[in-house]
This record gives sequence, C-alpha cells and structure tokens, in this order.
Amino acid sequence: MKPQAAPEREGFRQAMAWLHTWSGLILGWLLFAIFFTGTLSFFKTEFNLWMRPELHALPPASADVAERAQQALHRKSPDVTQWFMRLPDERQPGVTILWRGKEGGRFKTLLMNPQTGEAIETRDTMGGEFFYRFHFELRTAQKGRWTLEGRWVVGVATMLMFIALLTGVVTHRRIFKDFFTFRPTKGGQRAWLDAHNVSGVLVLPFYLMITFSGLMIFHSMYMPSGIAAAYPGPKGTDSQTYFAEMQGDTASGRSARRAPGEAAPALPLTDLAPLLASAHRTWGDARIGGLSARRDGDRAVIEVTRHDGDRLQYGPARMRFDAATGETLARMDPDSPALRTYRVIYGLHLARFAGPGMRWGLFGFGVLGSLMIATGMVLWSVKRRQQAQRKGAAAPPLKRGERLVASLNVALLGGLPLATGVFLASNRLLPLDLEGRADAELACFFGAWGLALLIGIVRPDRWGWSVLLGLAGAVFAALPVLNAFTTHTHLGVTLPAGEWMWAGMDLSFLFTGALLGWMAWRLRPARGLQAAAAAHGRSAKDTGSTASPSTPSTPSTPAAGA
Amino acid sequence: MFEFFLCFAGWSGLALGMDRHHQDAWNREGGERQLRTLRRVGWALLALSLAHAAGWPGDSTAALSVTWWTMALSLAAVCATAVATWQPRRLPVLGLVAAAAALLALAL
Repeated sequence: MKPQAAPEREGFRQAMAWLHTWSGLILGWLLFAIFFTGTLSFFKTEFNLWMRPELHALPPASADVAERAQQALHRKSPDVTQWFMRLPDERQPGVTILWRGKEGGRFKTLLMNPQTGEAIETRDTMGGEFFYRFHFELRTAQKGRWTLEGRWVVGVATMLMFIALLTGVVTHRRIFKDFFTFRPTKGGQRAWLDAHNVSGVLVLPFYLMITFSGLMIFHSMYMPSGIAAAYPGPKGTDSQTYFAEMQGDTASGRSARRAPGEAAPALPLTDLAPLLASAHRTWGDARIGGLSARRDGDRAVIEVTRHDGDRLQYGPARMRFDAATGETLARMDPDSPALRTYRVIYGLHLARFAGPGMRWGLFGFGVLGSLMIATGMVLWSVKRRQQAQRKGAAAPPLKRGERLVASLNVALLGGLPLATGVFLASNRLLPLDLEGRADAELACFFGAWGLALLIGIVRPDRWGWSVLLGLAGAVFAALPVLNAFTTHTHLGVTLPAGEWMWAGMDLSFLFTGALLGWMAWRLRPARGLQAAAAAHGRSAKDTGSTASPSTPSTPSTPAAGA
Repeated sequence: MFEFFLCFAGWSGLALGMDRHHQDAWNREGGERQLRTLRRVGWALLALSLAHAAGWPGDSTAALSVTWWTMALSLAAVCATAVATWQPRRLPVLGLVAAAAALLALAL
C-alpha cells in the first residue's frame, strides 16, 4: 500500500489503520474464542443431544405431552412451587423441565420421555450450553462465578470488534476493488492479506449484524443510565418495571412478591387442555413452545409461550392464565416499534428462526469470521517478519514481542479446535458416575488448551501449528469411533435409520477431522521449504509482485504456499 | 434457492466487469463499454433478487425472506469468489446458467 491520496486523507486512514491493527491484535485471541464458540452455539441443541446419548430414540410427542409432563413432575415432587417446561420440537425430542420446590434455591433440571413422562437419567454434562455460556460470559465452570465480569469483558471485546470492522473498511481501502480477489498461490503477506480481506468483506453484513446485535443484547448492563433516567424508583433504578415492560408486562405481574425466607405453597395440578386450546385460538396455527407455572401472591398462574421458531423476533408472545379458574389474566405481545426493533435485533443474533439450511449458512459465516480474525492475527506477524527480512538479507532472530504474538497465535488459535475435540471426547470417555463430571469435562477442555499454550510457547512455528492441528484432526476423526464403542447412537445405527440429527454430528466431526488433518499436512515443516522455493521461483518471474517470498525458517506463517 | 442463483449471477456479472477477472475468464482485456455493461447487468440482477425477496416472500414473512436474501447474497459472493479464484474460465458459463435457472423459475 503506497501513499497516493492527499496527505490529510492519508492521515485519517493511517489513524484508522493503527486503530484497526491494535484493537484487533490486543483482543483478537479473545475475539477468536468468542466467535468460535458462538459459531458452535448455532448448533447448541444438537450438541446438547449428542452429549446426552441417553436421549436417543425417544418416541414422538403426543398431543397431551404438556399434561403428562406436569403429572409426572407432580408425582416426582409434590411440593413443586415453580416450573418451566420446554415442549419437544424438531430439534429436541425430550421435554425439558426446570423446577424448584419449597426450599427454593437453584432450579433443577428434569428431562422426560414425551410419551410416558418418565424421567430420563442422563450423564452429567454441560453439553452445548458450555460453548454458549463461554461465548458471552467466558464461563469456566458449570456453576461459574465471575460471570457478570465475564459479560463485561466480552462486551468490551465486542465493542473493539465493532471498531475493528468499521476501521477495517477504511484501512483495507482496496477491499471493494479486490472484492473477488483471492490469490492463495502468491504466498506470503499477499495471500494472507487476500484471505483476510476476502473473508472479511464477503460476509461483512453478517459480521456487522452479529457484532452489533451482540452488543445490544446486554444494553441494560453496558448503558444503565438511560434506564435509570426513564425508570426512577424509590431505591435508585426501578429496573423491575423496565424489564417487565420489555416483556409487555406490568411489574406486579412479573414479581413473585414474597418476603425472603417465606416458603411458597406448592402448586396445584392444573388442567392444561383448556388453557392450551385458548392459546391456540389466539395464535392460530402457531406452535406452543413451552409453559411455566408459579405463585403470584395467593394465586397460582400458568403462562403459555408461543414457539419462537417461526419469526425473527426473540421473546415470543405469551398468555397468562389463572391456574385455578382458567381465566385469561394477560396477553403479552409487545408491539411498540422500539421493542420490536430490539427483539428483532436480539432474534437475529440467536437465529432461533433458522431452519437447517440457514443454520448451516450462519455456521459457515461464523467459521469465515473466525478465519478472518485468525488471518488478521497471523498477518500481523507475517507483515513484521517480512519487513524485517526486507531490511536484511538473512532472517534476523524474532523480537520478543513478535515471538510472543507468534506463540499466542499457535496456542490460542490452533489450540481451540484441539480443546473442543478433547471436550467432546471426554464426554464419551469419562466414567459416567464420576463426581462433578460436568466440571471434569470442562477441565479437559481447558487442560487441552493449556497444553496448546505450552506447545505454542516452545515452538511458535510451522512445527507447532502442524502438531496442534494434526492432534485436533485426530481427535475429531476419532470421535465417531469413540461414539461407536461407548454408545448406541453411532453411525452404524443412526445412518440406516436415517436419523440425520444424530448422524449429522458424527459426519461433521469426521469432516472436521479430515479438514484439520489436511491443514496439518499442508503446514508440515518440511513442506515449508518446498513452498518457499516455489514462491521464490514464482516471484522471480512475477515482477509486479510486492510480496517477498517467505524464507524456510519463517516462523508463525503456517500456509505461505499454494 | 432462487435468490441465491440470482445473486450468484449478479456477482458474476460484477466480477466479469472488473479488469482482472475479465482477463482471467476470457484471457483478453475487455472494452470499457463491455465492462460497464457487465457491471450494470450485475447490479440489476442483485437489485432484482432483493426486490423478489421483499415483494414475493412466498410462504414466509417479508422480514424472514429478506434475512434469507442477505444470507444468499453473502453465500453467493463466497461462491463467486471461489469460482473466480479456482475456475475463472467457468465463471461466465456458471453465471449465465444461474441467471437462466432463476429467470426460468420466475417464469414458471
């Protein structure tokens, strides 16, 4: 990039370039982890299933599934005081109930067979919820502390991502001229810059949407003063009313209004059929997503929630009924323009509306986004390396900062796929009756990441990349095999039965394993020599090329060649 | 699918309207007028795909349909770039086929 524009504009552009580079570099590793786990979260439900093979082969739900589940819950725990029930749908065959009894405390989870109502005992795992939780609050344990702090850190990172995106459009001024240009054979900085630009610009609408909506979801945390000004209360901010109105509700309808320590009376067994029929009359042929029940003062109330798979808005319509009389107490479907806007932004981020095709598309965009961040980080190293080489003929030793960045690139970018694979493998390998099993799985995840950090610090070069990606590829390829030895949900069963939800996971793991293995093969240290030689021969002919060839010992440039 | 094909055809037009990709596809330089026409056709196809998504959402809502269009737009851009990178000579044919398929579906 040679200066061509007027000095003023160049100053602006250089300022933007500086901001783009450093906002990208400093939080890039964290952003990569956030983007990567967020991408996996598009398939959260499928991960949840795969990691609980006990849920395999459940019968389809009958029409009275909600009533059966309620009866089963009351049989199991007569003193239940509050419950949330999620009804089965095409992505999730079981009934999920969160409930708590008289003693209060944390909600307990119950998974049920949709026809018999019997509880299904599953292994203790966080499942896909881990990726989801890590994605927005950096949760490191099943019942993690510091999650509020985690959300703040993620919020700051998201803000910087937004800045990096906007400044990136200014910095890479050629992205629209080079819109379709990807020259992987050029090698060196050129190929990395192309890869960064192409993965950045082609899917730019998605990045802007996902980053902005990610910021907006926790707007009440990051920007509380607006709420404080509009909803003053006797003790500071009346956020109770604010959140109630966000739900199209009144504050009194939301609060349980109970003195702390006072035990709530148990809920009665309610006849749900008339309530569901009433909801069906109101919403036409829309599906019911779930129900919940709680005490509101002296009265037991039941809320029916519409399924959110058929519209963009997150936070679906709800109806509230008196559990004793069946009388409709409230219909909640907030419709003000501001609320709708917010809910559509929220809904776009979560993509609950997406069918399988769209979900795969979004997943692919997420992968491209992760690649955009990763190539940006590697580009930082490659650029400095080549600048250093241009000054002197021989490759000078790495500066301390450059080596640090190279190490962290290997460890954190290359280590994350490995950690993910190990996490999934541990789900199959850890003994089922292990104490604190869910946290043991997480320990495997972070342990593998820690190992990657060691490798990255010792060998921040092709060798490190190749070994890490090769290991990750082997783990992913081994997952279907492990699955076959430890469960009855393996490909030999699921493929003939045409159970694509289950088979799709194993097939995706196989594919991921093959892909990572191929990358590891391309990055093997010996190949670096050939690639460099080839690039050298090419650049001799290619006089217009500004990129200099990479040398054999170039550290931290995994794929400099064709 | 319809939007995807139209977008792919549109992006192909835009790519072929650029010097470098025109040269890659046909191995000769395009005239200024020819390039401009290709670019105009490309933009027109992209606009048509958006109009189709917004105006004829089929059995979903317009909001969902436009969301799907945005995705198709990016997906098609990724595909067009892949073709321009690895199979540049096939780009004109594939673009035409995509446009024909989409227009045929529109006519039926």
